[in-house]
Amino acid sequence: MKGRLVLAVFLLSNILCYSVKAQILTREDSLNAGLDPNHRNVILAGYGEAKVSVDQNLKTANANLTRSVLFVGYRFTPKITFFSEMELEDARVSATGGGISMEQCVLKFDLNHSNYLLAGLMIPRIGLLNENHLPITFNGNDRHFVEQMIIPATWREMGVGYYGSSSSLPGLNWSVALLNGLNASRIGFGQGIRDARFGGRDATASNVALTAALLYYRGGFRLQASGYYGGSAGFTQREADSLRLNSGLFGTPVALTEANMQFRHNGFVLKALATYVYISQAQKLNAAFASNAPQVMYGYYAELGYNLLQGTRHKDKQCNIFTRYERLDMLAAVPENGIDNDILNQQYLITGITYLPIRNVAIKFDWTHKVTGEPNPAMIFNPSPNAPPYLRVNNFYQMGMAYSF
Amino acid sequence: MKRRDFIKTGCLACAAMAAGSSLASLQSCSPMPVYKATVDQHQIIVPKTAFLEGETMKVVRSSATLYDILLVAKPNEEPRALLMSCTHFSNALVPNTNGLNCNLHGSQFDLQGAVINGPASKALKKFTVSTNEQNYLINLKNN
Ligand code: FES
Repeated sequence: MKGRLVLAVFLLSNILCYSVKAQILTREDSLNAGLDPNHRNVILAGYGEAKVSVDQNLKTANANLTRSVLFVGYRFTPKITFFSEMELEDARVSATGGGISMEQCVLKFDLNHSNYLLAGLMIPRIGLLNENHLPITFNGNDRHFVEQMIIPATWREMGVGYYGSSSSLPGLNWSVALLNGLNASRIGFGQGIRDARFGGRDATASNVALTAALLYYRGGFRLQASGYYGGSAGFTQREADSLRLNSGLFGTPVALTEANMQFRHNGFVLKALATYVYISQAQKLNAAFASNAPQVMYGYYAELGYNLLQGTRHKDKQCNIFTRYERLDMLAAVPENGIDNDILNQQYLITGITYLPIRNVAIKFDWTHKVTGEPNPAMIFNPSPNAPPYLRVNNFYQMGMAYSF
Repeated sequence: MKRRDFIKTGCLACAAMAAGSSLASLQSCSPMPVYKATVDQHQIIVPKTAFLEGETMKVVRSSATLYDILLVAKPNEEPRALLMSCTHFSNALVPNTNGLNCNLHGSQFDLQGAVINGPASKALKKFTVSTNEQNYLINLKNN
């Protein structure tokens, strides 16, 4: 108990420390004026999140600086801008974990007031959290599980994207992007396509992916649908032949589709998303890599939140209570040579409070209830009591903080 | 219901919902064309005739600002002009009938320029608007 108290004090002191720094560092004001077409400027900003999580089954607690991200932008000319996000995950990098990576590193070329191109390491418009992943914008200490496990946010690849919005139909936006493809050898059991992302590092570009999205704002609604179709076998012809995989631009393809909506009204926020992934040649992947790749994965969630401070004089504060239900299956269909295992059929109920004393800082409390399917007995190599029995149900109690400046 | 059937039904239902709500919204939609304005001595001049019957908003483009300006002129309200630049990272905003949205990280602003949804934390830059018989005059100074 004492330990948890110390951790709580540690996290709170971090919140204070970061919010003070944020005021000193941000230079966005100078860009916001936007009056001088020849204005040049640097943007320095960032975001981060940390949490303490108590695992009810294991009766342990874990504290982690989940991520700390530094954002640097530079406007070269009124029409050419640079954006980058560098992320440090889990506070430090060692042989056992942590990571430092670029989340995006793009040049933005404005074609006119409503159309632009992005080129470089970019985050395509897929799902709700991929593009808009700042931790002060979502409830709960964890990013939505469906958007971690089925849509592998933050999903970034090298590519070129065209973004536009319609002036004749206000609120309608679109995007199309050509990206490098995925890595077939890393598609597998329990990971889905998450490990198959290249994230800008030495990606194979002899296999490519196309993604497109339509996004529409109307009243309190935000509606989006997007699709992704890409090859995963960027091997030489000789390698592909020996692995019996189809290579080429769209060889051994992965297809993903999703639709999501948000509705805001009088302090209420409703969010929902559904996604479906189809890997038509999962059987070939299993034969080549024995990875137990899924043929189908799917997931969906719905969240209802309400700001308790809505309508009060505390306009800059928010106290959001929320409940979210998530359902996903990372092995919804297995090819003939695959092995089914229902532990990847998962449900989550998350409920909690997100308090924002100012818009850039969030303090989060949540309870996460996780239920999985039964493990396949054939996959239990070390049965109880040699190993602890598999527990289908677990609860996590989490407290954390997030900031963005 | 089998898992496969569930997935199919679920996807169809989602598609139908999305299509339905989009169509419902489209019915009452009107375009928000851009008005290319002239600038005179730190004032952007927008003739009142630029607003068609029933129109209450206009996207105003001029050589004086890097970003467009949303001019809101509703009956019984003071006209106001908002710089369509997100106060988070200066991304150009997209207007709709209820407010302005930023596609980069999802900030939303209402038609007063106030933040509805972060990560932006500051209200949009506003310009004072005066009127004469024929025009709205967006004052780029003294803001
Ligand atoms: S630039 Fe608009 S939300 Fe980040």
